[in-house]
Amino acid sequence: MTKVFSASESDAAVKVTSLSKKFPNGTLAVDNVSFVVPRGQVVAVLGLSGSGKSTLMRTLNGLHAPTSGSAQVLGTDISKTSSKELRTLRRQVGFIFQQFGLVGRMTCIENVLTGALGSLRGPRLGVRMYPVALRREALSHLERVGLLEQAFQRADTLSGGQMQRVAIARSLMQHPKVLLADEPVASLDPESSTQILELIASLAREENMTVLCSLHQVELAKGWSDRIIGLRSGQIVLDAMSQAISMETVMALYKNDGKDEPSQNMQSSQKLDQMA
Amino acid sequence: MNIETEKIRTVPAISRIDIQKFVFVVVSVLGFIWAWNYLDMSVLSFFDDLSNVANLFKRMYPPDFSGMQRIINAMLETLWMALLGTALAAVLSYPLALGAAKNTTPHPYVRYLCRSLITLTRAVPELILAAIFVVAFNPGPFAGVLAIGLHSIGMIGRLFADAIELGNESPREAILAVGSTRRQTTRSAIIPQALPSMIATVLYRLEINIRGSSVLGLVGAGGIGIIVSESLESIQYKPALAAVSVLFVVIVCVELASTAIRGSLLGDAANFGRQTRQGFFTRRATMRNQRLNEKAARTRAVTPPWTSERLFRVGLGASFGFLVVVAIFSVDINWWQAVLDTPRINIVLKQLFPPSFGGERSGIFKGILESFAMAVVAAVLGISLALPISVAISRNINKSAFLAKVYRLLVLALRAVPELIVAVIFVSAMGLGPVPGTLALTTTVIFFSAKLFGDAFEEVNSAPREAVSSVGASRAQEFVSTVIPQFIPSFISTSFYLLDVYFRSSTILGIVGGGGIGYLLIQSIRVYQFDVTATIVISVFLMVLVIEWVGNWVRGLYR
Repeated sequence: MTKVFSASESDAAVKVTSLSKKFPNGTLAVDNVSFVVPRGQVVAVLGLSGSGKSTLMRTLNGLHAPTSGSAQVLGTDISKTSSKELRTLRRQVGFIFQQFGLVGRMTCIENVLTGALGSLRGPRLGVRMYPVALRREALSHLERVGLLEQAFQRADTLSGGQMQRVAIARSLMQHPKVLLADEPVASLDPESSTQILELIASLAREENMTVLCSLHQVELAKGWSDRIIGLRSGQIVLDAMSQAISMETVMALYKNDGKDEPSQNMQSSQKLDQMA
Repeated sequence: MNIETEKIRTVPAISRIDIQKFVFVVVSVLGFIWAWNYLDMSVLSFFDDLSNVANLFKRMYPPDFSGMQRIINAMLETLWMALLGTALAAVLSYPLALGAAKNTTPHPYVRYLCRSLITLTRAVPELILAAIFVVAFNPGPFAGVLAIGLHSIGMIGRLFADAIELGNESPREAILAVGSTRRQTTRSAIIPQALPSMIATVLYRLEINIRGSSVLGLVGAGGIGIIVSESLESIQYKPALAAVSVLFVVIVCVELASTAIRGSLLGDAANFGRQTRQGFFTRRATMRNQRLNEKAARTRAVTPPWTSERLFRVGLGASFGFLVVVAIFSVDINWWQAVLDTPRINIVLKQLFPPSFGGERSGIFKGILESFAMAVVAAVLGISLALPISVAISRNINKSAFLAKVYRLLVLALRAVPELIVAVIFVSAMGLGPVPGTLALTTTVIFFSAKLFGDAFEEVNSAPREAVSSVGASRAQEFVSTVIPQFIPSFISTSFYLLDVYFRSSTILGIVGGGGIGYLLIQSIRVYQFDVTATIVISVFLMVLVIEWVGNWVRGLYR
């Protein structure tokens, strides 16, 4: 625990050095990537499907183990942690998923409460097994995302945008210092997308959170983030402050040079997964 | 609004569904206690019972294979009966299913009639049908084939109809639009879509029927079951184990083969459009198929090329047909005599209606109650023991996917022995009565339900699991907070299905002295009181309907 906040790295929330991730099937999803994110910065990660955005985000939270290189999040090196240290770190890192990751049969408040599991001992089933103070806190987070009325409604009765807001409320239970969002608005309509991104941005300002968010919407990303990191075939091909770069530079990321055919397959198989 | 200070609800309001759930839980706990006491079960005597069974197995070991010739003949007869019965059921089910499916039925009344016929065939256990046919026709495998054939319609017909209804509508419309007749539409648009699942159904039923036909010997309808029970009755334990182990090996082999075939039949559809793993053989096969297809196109062939798919399909059909022909000629049935020489069929038909209690009203009532109690105890005990096993066999929950697979194979193998054979062994070890019957049922419930629950665990959505472990939850926390809530609906649904299945089973255990209504049932057939048989069968069916009705209510609560 002493290593977690060493003085020299206190201003870097995320520090990635020559990070690579190769999957057992041979795909090199992240290829020698390095960058540093200072505290409080809001970063948009852009790139085609299959460019390694998801893998990068998931590696930062220890959902994938890196093949080589290192990734320090809040001073803890992901590649060298025991599972206990990893759990300690995860408590401080929120993660928002494209598919929300809610249990549809559970009420919103119960889904939000699962965000506190990292700081609790032992398994919990049902709202009544959580301390009243945590329940109150869960309600206040639901109020913050505008869903207090729906607290005792089942999660599967909500719309996609509402589900994502519940997922954000769940992350707030962790009081995260870093928020990783993996395409949080990819399955939402344009209006909900804007709402969700605005919510994330305002939370980041209020709580001084560091945000890494992968996105597809270039225009949204440019107006919304402090900084843009562009990935292509697992490598960083663009890293600049959002105000400083032109739309064309960002759009170039999405030009298909024909090399990315496997990623097209990935896309269609992902679609099938979603339909199934 | 300040949540910290204001009086605001932090727990959900109690709804009507919560009250109903509470009632259900209380009633099921009371029901279990009632059933336990009704059967005079006691935990202490379990250990005696178990050591009795263990002792019996000790005396059975090593198996004595000296009567192997007889065992093999009986095993073959079992296989032929199952095969012919399944084929008969498939042939009879096809028109019934066409009549019962919404999109192919000529008239709603026909649909209703076909549905009812299909349900009716499932209502009578095949062992009871076999016992009746043994009287109506003659003892021997013909009665067995007929019994399996008729009873299997209940499942095959139902699943055929479902498969037909599930098909995509647009090919049917497209073919109708070119001016085809109704028959042509069915053949060209509907059946091709339903065929893989229909074949899988027949294979699956064949598995079940091999297990079923192996016990038909107990009522005189041929097969290997009679060797087991005769040997045990005459205290020849070692030959009995020989017969059981042959049966076990054959059933496991058939199940493995059938699972593999069904997997490749349905797997094609499931993997459509997905990047599947490219093993050496698949790569070779793909290359070969591509070459054949290109060649056929180049030479303008008017017959499809022999791709691996076509070879597999035709090979499967040909070997099934070939086996059926072999079965027809090698099974010990004189077909002409079997159909023409039916000495007592009139007596049976005349006696069957109208049903009557025949002075056994309270006996029948008690018997059904006892069967129900047996099913309840077996289901509750079996399910409780199966839950930890089902966690261990789930690839997504067990840390080691390899171990999960090994455990799963073990469970599938242990499930292979038919419950009536287990009951014969348990009764032989512990004596007559409902307790050995219940324990025999329990052992079969364990492995069957472990498999079903394992499947349910593997269907759990992984997204919430990942989300909750990403907040730093431990494996136990993640399991309880995300897997269990998702598992509950299928747990409830499967449990009621098991209660239904094992109540039906418990009604025939009496045939081997395992308690329940089965004793009266088989007795009524033996003394030609078919009116009583009819009453019992109808009462059992009504009880099944009640279980189904309650089950649907509870499933609704836990959706």
